[in-house]
Amino acid sequence: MSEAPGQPIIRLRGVRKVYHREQTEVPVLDGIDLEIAENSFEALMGPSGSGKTTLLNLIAGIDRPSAGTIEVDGTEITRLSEGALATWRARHIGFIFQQYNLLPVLTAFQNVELPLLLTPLKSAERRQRVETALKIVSLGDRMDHYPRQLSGGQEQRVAIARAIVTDPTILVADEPTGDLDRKSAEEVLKLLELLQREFKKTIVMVTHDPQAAERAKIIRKLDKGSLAASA
Amino acid sequence: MVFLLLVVKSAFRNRLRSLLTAFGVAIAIIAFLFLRTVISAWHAGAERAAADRLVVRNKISIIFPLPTAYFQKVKNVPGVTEATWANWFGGVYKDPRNFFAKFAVDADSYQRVYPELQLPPEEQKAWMGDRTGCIIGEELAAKYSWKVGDEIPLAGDIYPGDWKFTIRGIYHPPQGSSIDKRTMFFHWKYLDERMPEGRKNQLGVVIVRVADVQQSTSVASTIDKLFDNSPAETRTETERAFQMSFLSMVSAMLVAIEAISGVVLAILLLILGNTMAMATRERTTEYAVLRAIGFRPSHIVRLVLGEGLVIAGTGVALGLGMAPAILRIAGQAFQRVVGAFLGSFVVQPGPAIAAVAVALLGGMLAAAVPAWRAGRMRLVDALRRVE
Ligand SMILES: Nc1ncnc2c1ncn2[C@@H]1O[C@H](COP(=O)(O)OP(=O)(O)O)[C@@H](O)[C@H]1O
Ligand SMILES: [Mg+2]
Repeated sequence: MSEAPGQPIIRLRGVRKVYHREQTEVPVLDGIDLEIAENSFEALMGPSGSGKTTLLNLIAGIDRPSAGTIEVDGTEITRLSEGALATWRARHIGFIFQQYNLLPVLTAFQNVELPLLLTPLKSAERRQRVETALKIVSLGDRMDHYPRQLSGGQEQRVAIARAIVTDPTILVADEPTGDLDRKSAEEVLKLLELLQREFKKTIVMVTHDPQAAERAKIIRKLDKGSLAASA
Repeated sequence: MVFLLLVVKSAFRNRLRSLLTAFGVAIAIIAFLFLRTVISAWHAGAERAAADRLVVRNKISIIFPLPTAYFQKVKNVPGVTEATWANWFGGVYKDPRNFFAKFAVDADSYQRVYPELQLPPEEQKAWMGDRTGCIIGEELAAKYSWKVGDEIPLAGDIYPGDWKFTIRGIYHPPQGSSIDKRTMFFHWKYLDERMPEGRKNQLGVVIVRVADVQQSTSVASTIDKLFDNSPAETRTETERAFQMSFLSMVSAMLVAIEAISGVVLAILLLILGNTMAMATRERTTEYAVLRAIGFRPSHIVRLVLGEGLVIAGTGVALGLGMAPAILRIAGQAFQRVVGAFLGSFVVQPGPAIAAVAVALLGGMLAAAVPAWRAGRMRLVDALRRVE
């Protein structure tokens, strides 16, 4: 691919993460230095338990490092208070989970609308945005369906619509294809590519699946708490 | 709107559990209202007693009689305009469960002290002309389908023996009168006649009317002073106070009922608390996802509190919806048993408001702990529960 790598939008310096289990300390990330360029699509691979989810959570601002600094889109999120961090997340990060994590009592439309409830947008504007997001994921005709009425792949696409509806700069995806069959996984990956290419999102995706990782422009390998990059 | 929708829909996620909980709340509310209504009906019974009537009884206990001579002495006390007496008969009609009050009275003077106790002239005449005649209240008549001319056989206990009375009249007390509609009155003379020598000339209580309500207290103490240091000292109190203390056992029962009504509310809280605790535990991941998206702990707290409120509110609606019908039936059954001492069985607004407030506040309170826990949970830990 020929895109020129943009400026780094995510910067980790000397990030350490240690979990405390009873009396013992469990080091998970050990001095991570990482820069992720704007509008890139990166995959994070590594054996189970190597700290991929932990690293992703740190980047997304839902966890805090034991040491080191994390700067995302010009903000040093390690310094934000819990409340400020929540607001920051709402504005900058779109989450895609392995288990989709849609609310079963809400329709696809209502699920996608959820993040917009935190914005001052009027109902008509919200409706328009939700419809747009659902059209991007090709589910414009499934708006009133409940999650249980959708296939796994469709559920994940609703989750992606929910992640992009606030137009965040960064999408983090933790094993987004982990629960999907090959065909649905392909659709989801194509969608992520589209979001990166057409909508200029920066995407950080954790995956086990080499085929999924291949769609990413950069693959990083995490092992025993350290990173090794490969193109 | 969507948030509200989420609250309502989440509340009924587990439809069976939420409905059962709401029913539990409804039943608790009805039980509470029933118990409070029993209490207020009892007080209402005492309250409708007239303030210008005093009851003179044996100081030791209501079960000890007063000598007949007391009647004249009491009647002569300054400030007393009328006086009469009455004896509690006890007695059983067929089955002890057929409870109603039966008093032996001196008809003439009794009706002067209780002018509301009125009969049509021909019935009045018939009663006065029949030694073993009796009169009964309209509700008592309706309950046993008794009519004038019927005979009421009673097995005596306080006054042993087999008794038979002929109904000579049915009285219809005016609205708001303290005359109970389920009581039987008969001639004291007949009672006295049948008593053996040692038990003749005994009065249960002497009842007087005072000229001036303001002087009730001083008249009462004048009466009691008359009999100081006599073999039968007296205690004189207003009809109201008398009713209240008539059965001290009842007041103990009222305290128990009051306590139980409190317990019912506590159970209501536990039911709600249990459901909310289960509901929030199941949804830990959802709350975490909402927070990852940017919702604050305070949003989660509101969500959970709202759910508690919705479930409790449904229970309240069910409870208030069913209460009138159920309480009417329960009230009728209850009045059949102890009605003689009760005022009208009507749900008071106070307890109803209290029950609703406790249920709604309780719903939120019950949700508060799980809400607080859900809101406070570390995001990453909550999210990891999925895995
Ligand atoms: N809250 C926690 N407390 C203690 N240990 C944890 C916690 N979360 C994760 N870990 C441990 O950290 C390590 C990395 O976990 P994770 O980031 O989920 O790995 P991956 O996503 O690569 O499988 C694992 O050994 C895991 O058991
Ligand atoms: Mg993981």
